[in-house]
Amino acid sequence: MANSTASPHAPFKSVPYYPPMAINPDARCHLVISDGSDLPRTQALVSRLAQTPRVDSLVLGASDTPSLQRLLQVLAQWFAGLHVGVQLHVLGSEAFLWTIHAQATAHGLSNEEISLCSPTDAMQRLVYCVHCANVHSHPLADAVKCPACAVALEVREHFSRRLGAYLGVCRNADAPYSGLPA
Amino acid sequence: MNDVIQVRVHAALNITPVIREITFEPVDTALPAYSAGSHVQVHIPLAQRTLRNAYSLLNAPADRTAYRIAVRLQEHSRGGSRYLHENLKVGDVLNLSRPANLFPIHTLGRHHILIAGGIGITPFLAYSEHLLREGASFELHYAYRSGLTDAYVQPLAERLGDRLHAYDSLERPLNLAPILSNQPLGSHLYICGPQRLLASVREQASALGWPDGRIHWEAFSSAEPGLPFSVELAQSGRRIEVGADQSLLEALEANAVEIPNLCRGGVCGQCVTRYVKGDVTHRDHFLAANERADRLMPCVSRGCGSSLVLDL
Repeated sequence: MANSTASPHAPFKSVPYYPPMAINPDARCHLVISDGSDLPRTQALVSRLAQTPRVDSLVLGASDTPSLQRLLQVLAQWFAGLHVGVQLHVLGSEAFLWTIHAQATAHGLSNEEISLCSPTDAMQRLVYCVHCANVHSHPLADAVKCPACAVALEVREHFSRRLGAYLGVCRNADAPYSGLPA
Repeated sequence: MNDVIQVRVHAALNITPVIREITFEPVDTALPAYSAGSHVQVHIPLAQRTLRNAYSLLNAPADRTAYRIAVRLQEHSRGGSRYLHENLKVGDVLNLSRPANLFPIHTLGRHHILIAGGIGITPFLAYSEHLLREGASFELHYAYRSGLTDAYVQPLAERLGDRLHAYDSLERPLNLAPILSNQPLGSHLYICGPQRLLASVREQASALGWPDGRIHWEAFSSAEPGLPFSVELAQSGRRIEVGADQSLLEALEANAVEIPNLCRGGVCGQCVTRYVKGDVTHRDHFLAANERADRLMPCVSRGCGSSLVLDL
């Protein structure tokens, strides 16, 4: 039943929504993953969770997780040994949140089990290129160049939770490779 | 809603003193395909009226040559299960509604945990066939009373091997904590059985941190008798009497007022109807407390006290 009076030609936006943080008090294990961009908020969350049975945290840039690749490896090892009853909390830039989200869903977590805190910054975001089907991280801009296929992309306000990325489509079909510096 | 399939009783077999398995074959056209977890409503022609009871389909969903159901004789039956046990004969022709699925398998599940109590095994017979065919990871926990509701223990043991965990309630009660504590990420839990079992599994799973979206259940309650009452239809001004062992939905249907419905047991929410006045005994498991102020589910809920006026 459409009650909406919005014009069918109104701009269509589908951007991520970050609900207020909710802690599942019954979860037997809380994982806190942060990109290190907002340590006070990360520490506040970890102390809020101190009363729960188990809290583990990973911070990007710490000695055991110096790179994103290493952090994702450690996280994958954790997931392999965990059981249903986990809640994952992610803090950081929007691109970081959705990189971790994709890794978590690939290991069987559902959206109900993943809590994404509102991003510390949205200056960097993931863009999905519809021409070569690759996802890359780009600085916030309406137009970017796909590093894989070099097509100049326009970034739409259309977000895929599954891919964790915004939709990038060819800016100018008559001149797909021109108009943007590499 | 008039999608009715005519079927003939091909076989009827008492497999325990209280469980009878009935196989239906099509009368003329092929049977519609269905997915594991589906049920049909069987239109049961009692002397005074036709009852419609919902039963899960047991056979492998790919099999379209027959439908199988298993009927538990209910002590406080309104006559439906008794008729299927005592009156139904091979060769009888009956009407079924088309299959509907209110209890589907979650397709993204990495591992499936099925928990059945007694006759609640029925949807899981179809589940098991589907999951075996898909090569999916699953385990079935089946609690029963030996000699009474253990209808499918033997065939399941042969088919499933160590995926089956059988619990004779007198000798080896079902202990939920070990089942729910160590399941891999991405597991889904399915429960079918008496209210007591559903409530206790749901409660324990939640307490162990399982989110609601991983817990699926099917209750097999059906309308229970109550006191007779009358109901008024606000839009047409008609007044309809509801008998003691008749549901409000059945009384409406008997007066040619058709309301969409699927489960006829107070769980699916299809038959939700607005009322404008009157006191209601709500017996459903679907409506939230605030919704009950002006909505009811006529398949199980009844009027009581002051006269009930429906927005129909």
